[in-house]
Amino acid sequence: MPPRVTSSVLKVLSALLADGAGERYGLQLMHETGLASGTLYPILVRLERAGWLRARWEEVDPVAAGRPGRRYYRLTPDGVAVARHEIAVMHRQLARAAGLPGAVHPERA
Amino acid sequence: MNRLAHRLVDIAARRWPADLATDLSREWHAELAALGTRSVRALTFAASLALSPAVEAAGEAPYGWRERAAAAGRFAAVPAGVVLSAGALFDLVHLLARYALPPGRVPADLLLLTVAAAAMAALGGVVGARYPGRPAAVTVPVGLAAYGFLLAGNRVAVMPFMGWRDILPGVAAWTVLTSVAATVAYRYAGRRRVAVVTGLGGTLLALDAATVCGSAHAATVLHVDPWSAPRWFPLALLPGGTGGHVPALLLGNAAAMVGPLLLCSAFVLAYTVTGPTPGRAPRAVGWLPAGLGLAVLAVAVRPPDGDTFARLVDNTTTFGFGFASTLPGRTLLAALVAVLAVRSVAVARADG
Repeated sequence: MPPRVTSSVLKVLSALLADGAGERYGLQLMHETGLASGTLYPILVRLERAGWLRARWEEVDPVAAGRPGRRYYRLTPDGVAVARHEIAVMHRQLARAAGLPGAVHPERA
Repeated sequence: MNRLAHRLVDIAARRWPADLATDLSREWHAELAALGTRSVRALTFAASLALSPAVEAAGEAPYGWRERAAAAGRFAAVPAGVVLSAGALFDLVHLLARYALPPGRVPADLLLLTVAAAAMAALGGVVGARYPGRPAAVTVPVGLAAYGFLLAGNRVAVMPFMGWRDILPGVAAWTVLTSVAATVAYRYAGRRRVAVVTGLGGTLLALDAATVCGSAHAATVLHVDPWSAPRWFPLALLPGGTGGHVPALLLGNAAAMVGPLLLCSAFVLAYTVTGPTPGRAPRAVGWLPAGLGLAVLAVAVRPPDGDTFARLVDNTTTFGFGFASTLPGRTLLAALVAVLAVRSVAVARADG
């Protein structure tokens, strides 16, 4: 079952979509989305389960870096498509709500 | 402080599904290490994980804050409904005894109270058969709801000894001792007669103790003989003039407090001794919008003017519903009735 796209999920998708490389670690996502860790990590797990997100461990020498390796997240091609679609829908809804001239009815789009 | 943050992350990881816990624990510890000496940020990061709901296991429906809030609301509606029903029934007994029955008819007063207790016991039996559980799990929420009800209902202080220093010890004694009595009865669940007798004796003792604790402040102010304390509970349930040397003020005060608790005891006892009955689990129904619509309508309707309604809600005729004179109070009451109505429909559908 695909995850419910709430406003918090949209924030995470937007943050991951914003950059070309699209790789982010947890603290970075918290900083960019303003979400607390207790909200962010369940979202990341649900997105990963849905196949929209892929995670990998950072390859770093803990002694040289002075810290353990982090876990990085990036959108899969499916995730990119979903994120673009959901963000476009949100933009249309916001534009319609604000009565902006560019607002297009979804059926006519 | 950093050690505390790492400890909180360990606690959080243990609550997450086993297939994720190891990786996430490693990831969170890595983020804490990256935060280094910024201990407040590290502690906030760890505390949020420790206090927030863990993600559901793969294939399960999400159970986050929204679902938790809905479950808490459904859970809180039952004890609130029990206490309001007990308060309304006790007031009904009081009104009938005062206006509909000839004076001095002691057995009729007690008969009405017995019928009200039987009604609450029947309700407890129905709830106990449908949602069986440990006695303390129902007694403590009912005690909390009773504390709120007795304080909220006393905004107009016609009863002089119904402040927190009276209600808190009374309701606390009732909650603790009724929980103990119900737990003992619960242990005899296989021997129904023994369970009923021990539960009944224990809850009556709990009510007597609650009356003493809840009236101690009044007794001190009114200089009442403390040796008469064990008799305050039975005397409080009898009509005025039967209390001998105990002031009517103390007995009336005690009756307003312990009367609804007596009916709550009947509910708890019946809930405890009734075993579960097999049946389909009730499912949520999509009637909530209709119920909430009714609630809004109930709030929007202006209460009738005049003395009758005013006397009903200002505690001079009935006790405990003073909050119904304010819009927030009526809103809460209407929302509670809507939630309970929706749940009743769900149970009826499951049975049908």
